[in-house]
Amino acid sequence: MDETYKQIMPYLPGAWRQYISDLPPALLAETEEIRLRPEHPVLLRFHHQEGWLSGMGRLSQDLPMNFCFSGEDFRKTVLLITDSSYYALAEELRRGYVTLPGGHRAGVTGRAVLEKGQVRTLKDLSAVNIRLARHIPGLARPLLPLLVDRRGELCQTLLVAPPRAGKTTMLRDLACLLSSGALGQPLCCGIADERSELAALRLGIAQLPVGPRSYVLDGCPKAEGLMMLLRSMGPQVLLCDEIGRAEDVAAIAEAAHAGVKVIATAHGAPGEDLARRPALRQLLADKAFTRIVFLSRRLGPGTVETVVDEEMRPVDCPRNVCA
Amino acid sequence: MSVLKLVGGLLIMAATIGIGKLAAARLQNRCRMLFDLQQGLLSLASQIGYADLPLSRAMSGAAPAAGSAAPLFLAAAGALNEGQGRTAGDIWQDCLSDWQSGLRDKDIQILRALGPQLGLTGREEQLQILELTRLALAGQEKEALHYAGNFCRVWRCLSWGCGLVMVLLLL
Repeated sequence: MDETYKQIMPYLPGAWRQYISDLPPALLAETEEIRLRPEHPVLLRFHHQEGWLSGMGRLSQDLPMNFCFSGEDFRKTVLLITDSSYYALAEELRRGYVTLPGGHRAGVTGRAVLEKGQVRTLKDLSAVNIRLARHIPGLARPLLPLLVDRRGELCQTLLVAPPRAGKTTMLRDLACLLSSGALGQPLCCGIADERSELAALRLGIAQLPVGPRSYVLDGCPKAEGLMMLLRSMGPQVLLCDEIGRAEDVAAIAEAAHAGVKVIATAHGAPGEDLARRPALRQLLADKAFTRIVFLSRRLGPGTVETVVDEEMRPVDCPRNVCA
Repeated sequence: MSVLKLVGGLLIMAATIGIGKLAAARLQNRCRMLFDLQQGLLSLASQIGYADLPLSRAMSGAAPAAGSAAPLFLAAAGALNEGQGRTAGDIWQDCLSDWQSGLRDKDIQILRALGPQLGLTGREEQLQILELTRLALAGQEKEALHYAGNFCRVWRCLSWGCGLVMVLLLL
């Protein structure tokens, strides 16, 4: 069985482990998400398709209402993903997900418990979405030569892609490559991993490879995290996922002025006018990013569509990089 | 001959007194065990409510306060640490089944009822569930103390009395 599956199987109730593990190995290797709801069939999403689990190792496109994930199964799943410590995960549940060993993530929905107008935690969970994290070693290697300028220095880089297009996977591999010396000199990388997606730190140990000279600040708001890393670890490169708030923009500008290279990601579609996004407008106007990479999942997660410079001019894109 | 009779009489007395003491000790053990379980649950509530520890660490943290009930908490903590796709409820039930406690079925039922709720809810609910279980055990302890108070003396007197009667009959 796929190694990724071995890691998440203990989080599913007994019988369902068998139902899923009997799927064809090729499909198992392509699985991205397992969506669970009480008294509802199980939805599996793959790279290019999705299907309802309709029996042992069988998928259906029609809703198989006679093959549902029971309420008891769901209760067990909640216990398993929380290590039977639901009460201790209020902060994770407030953010809407629990990080599992191996860097996988169980996204959850339920009833929000409010305190002074803010979400304190979730209760009465109504759905669990197990998102399988897969490290793709070398995914960013063909892209790397496009992220250096004529002097051979790494550019300030923004990766832009819609959800599930491989932004995080690409960013993680960039951290791996840069800190391993893929540009000649190994670079010290600071990772502000606000949502525990990049390194998936668990008890201080990175569950996903981020490279030998990468230092991870986990669960900290990006803006604050970038500044803390800047002060504490003396990084040459700062990496953060999904910028979008005004304070993120200010922190990136500050880091760039401090002479540190920043590689960040943002939600967006290829061809989208990023200047229309309030948070990014200022960064683009200031030419804070000298490389903007648009990704899609057209040929699988991490497909590089275009790479442009600060003037939005395409950067020479070898055939093996751009799809 | 009289020496042999004396030795035999003493042996009979020792055996009956021993049986009586054993029965009395069993009653007292139940009281102590119920008290220790309450202390363990109080400590578990502290580990959850104040230290905010995950259940496996909360269980092992509660064990020292649990005295004679410590093996139950330690076994649960060990199994929770191993994980292996089992919920806290399943682990708790298995640990209770394996535990040689000397408690009565009614006491064990109270502990079993705790299993399905363990770790499933938020902090406040967990503290309430633990407190309810502790109060139920306190009720059982009160009853056990009353029972032990009456029957420990009965067992001791009975053991002496039976021993004496048997010795006198045999002599």
